[in-house]
Amino acid sequence: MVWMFKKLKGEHKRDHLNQGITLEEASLGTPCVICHNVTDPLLKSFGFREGKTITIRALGVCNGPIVCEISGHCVAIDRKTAKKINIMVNGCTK
Amino acid sequence: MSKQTILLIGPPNVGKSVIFNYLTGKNSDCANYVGTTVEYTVGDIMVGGQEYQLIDVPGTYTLEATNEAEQIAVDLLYGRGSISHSNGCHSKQQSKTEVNVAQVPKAIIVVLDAQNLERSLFLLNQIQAHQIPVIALLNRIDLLEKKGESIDVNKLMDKIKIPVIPSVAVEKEGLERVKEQLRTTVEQEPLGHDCLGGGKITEEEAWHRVEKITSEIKSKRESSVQQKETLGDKMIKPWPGIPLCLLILGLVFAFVVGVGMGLRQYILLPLFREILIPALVFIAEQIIPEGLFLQVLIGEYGLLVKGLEWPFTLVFPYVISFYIAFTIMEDSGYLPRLAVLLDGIFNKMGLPGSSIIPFLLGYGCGVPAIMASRSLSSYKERLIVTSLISLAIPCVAQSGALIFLLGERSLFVLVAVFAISLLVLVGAGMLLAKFIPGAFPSTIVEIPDLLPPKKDIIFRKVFIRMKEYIVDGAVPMMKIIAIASVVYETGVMNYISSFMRPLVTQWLQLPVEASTPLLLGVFRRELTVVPMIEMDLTLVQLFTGAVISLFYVPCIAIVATITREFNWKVALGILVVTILTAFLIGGIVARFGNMFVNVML
Ligand SMILES: Nc1nc2c(ncn2[C@@H]2O[C@H](COP(=O)(O)OP(=O)(O)O)[C@@H](O)[C@H]2O)c(=O)[nH]1
Repeated sequence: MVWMFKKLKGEHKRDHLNQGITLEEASLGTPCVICHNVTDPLLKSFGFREGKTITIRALGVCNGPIVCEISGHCVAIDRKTAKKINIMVNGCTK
Repeated sequence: MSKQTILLIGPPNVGKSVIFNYLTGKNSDCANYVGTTVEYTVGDIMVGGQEYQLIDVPGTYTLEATNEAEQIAVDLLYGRGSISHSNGCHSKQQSKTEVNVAQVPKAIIVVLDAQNLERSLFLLNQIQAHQIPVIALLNRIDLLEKKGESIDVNKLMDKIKIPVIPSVAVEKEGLERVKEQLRTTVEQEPLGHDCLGGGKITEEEAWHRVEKITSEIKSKRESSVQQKETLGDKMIKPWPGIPLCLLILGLVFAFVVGVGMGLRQYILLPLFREILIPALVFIAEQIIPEGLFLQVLIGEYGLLVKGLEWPFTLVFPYVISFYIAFTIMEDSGYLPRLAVLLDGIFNKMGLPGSSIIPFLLGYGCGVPAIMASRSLSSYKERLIVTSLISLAIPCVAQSGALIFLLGERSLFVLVAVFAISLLVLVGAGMLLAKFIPGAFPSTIVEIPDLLPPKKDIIFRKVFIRMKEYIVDGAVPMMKIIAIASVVYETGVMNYISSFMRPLVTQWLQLPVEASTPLLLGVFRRELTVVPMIEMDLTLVQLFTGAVISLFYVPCIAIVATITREFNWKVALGILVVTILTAFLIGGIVARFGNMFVNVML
């Protein structure tokens, strides 16, 4: 029951973001757009801001970091952080 | 009265150290990885006939104080800094200059990264809120131009209304203009507005304005996606990154050993053994009468014999070859790639991949390595890295001695010793990660471009590190050899050795003279190895000795560094653990090494 509730909540969130996924789920090489306000100042400074295009370049071994290209630079972020970044594959509708 | 200060602020890896060195004429350490400057560095600078102190602030992306480096930057801006700084270069015995950081700085040089203009401008805007006169240096424009992009500097100045000097720090381009501009800037009152047009704006709005300015002055938008895969990209992918990593580290090892051996065999050994030492011994014999003093100088552990031979022909060659290799990896931008590649694996030891940098440095010397661990984000990570460096990573001096001790007798035992060190490193890391409380490491790092290292920068850095080795390594080593020589010649050594006899002869199955290196090893790591060269040991005894020396107490300088960086309890804990581990594994090798060596040979 609790599990279902969680699932429903998750879907509700996705729906709100217009079928967005998290960066952790994105596939290698496909450009995506960040769809929400990232709050972490360091991430923001690295270019993780709403509307920016981001492409995954490599996935680390042993559950290692995700290396993405953003604003013409490479940034590596761990998967837990990547889970908190919502993206859209075909651009944001907002 | 203390001098007024000028701050040099910018994001990590933008070229601040190079600029600082130019402006102050000093030799501070600079490198192509994040976290080179953890302490801040201070140097004098003349501006318009008056002397100021220039402070190289640790690299910071924002002023949110999310880590230690950013906190230092914020404190310095408010004039409430503390005085933990280094003077010139990273070395454990820096001469301290007086600096008053409890005053608001007179001016700030903000180094903007031409390749990352948006966030540089955002940082500039945050700095300007402090109402201190500012000049901006737009550095690394050469790299931007290489990508076929450009920035309209006049338009930028027009928009942000402060002087902007385009520069290529490594070519010294634009740096003379900074000195000229500073003359007017230190006289100025603060502008009273920030670079984004003033007004109280939200952070979102600030980012928005920064993006707008950038798009107006840059020939190409920062968000343009690069399609071509470069060698730098390949290095961070598991394939072919991991084979490349093994190949590169293998080459580095071969280079360090090969070049080190060559330098020793063909240059340093003939120079010292055939020319310098005989000449000094001859002179000593002529002018000093027979007796204890002469024996201390030219006897078994004579200061003029072993005191020169060990530090300069055994260790120095490997110091040179190690630092050439390390500096090339450091300056090319390979280290951050290695860090990202190994991140997932290091996480299993509770560490972020970036701890590879202190680890690799540890193979040079533990002191700068432990200091470099400050760039790690948590206490837990620092403690694990420091413990592992103290326990299982031999410094270059010790490796040099081990290679010499074992290389000629059995290459196999040499490899076995290093393999045991790696095994213990990983095992101890996993154990520590379980038992030391603390959060799991998180990774958010930028990977700098892969750049061909610059010859003159490599030369300069290797030279600084060689100088550091002579001052902080070779000279203390000579002093200890001198003490050993006195203790040996007066018979005190024999007396102390008798206490250690049961441990050495029964548990470790070594000859009784082997207690000498164990005593000396407290002071310097390689001294646990070097005296064994002169003894007549069996292969298993060599193996035992090498393993003990590997895990035995880190040298006195490392213990002092741990006490300074943590506290005496941590230092004592690490001492006890290393001694116990050394004797435990040493005893095991002494018993089972025979089997092992026989099977393998
Ligand atoms: N191509 C280029 N490289 C630079 C320039 N300035 C610095 N570097 C390199 O950038 C790296 C980082 O420099 P460093 O001074 O250590 O940066 P810091 O972390 O800001 O102190 C070094 O490898 C320098 O050689 C520049 O203007 N152009």
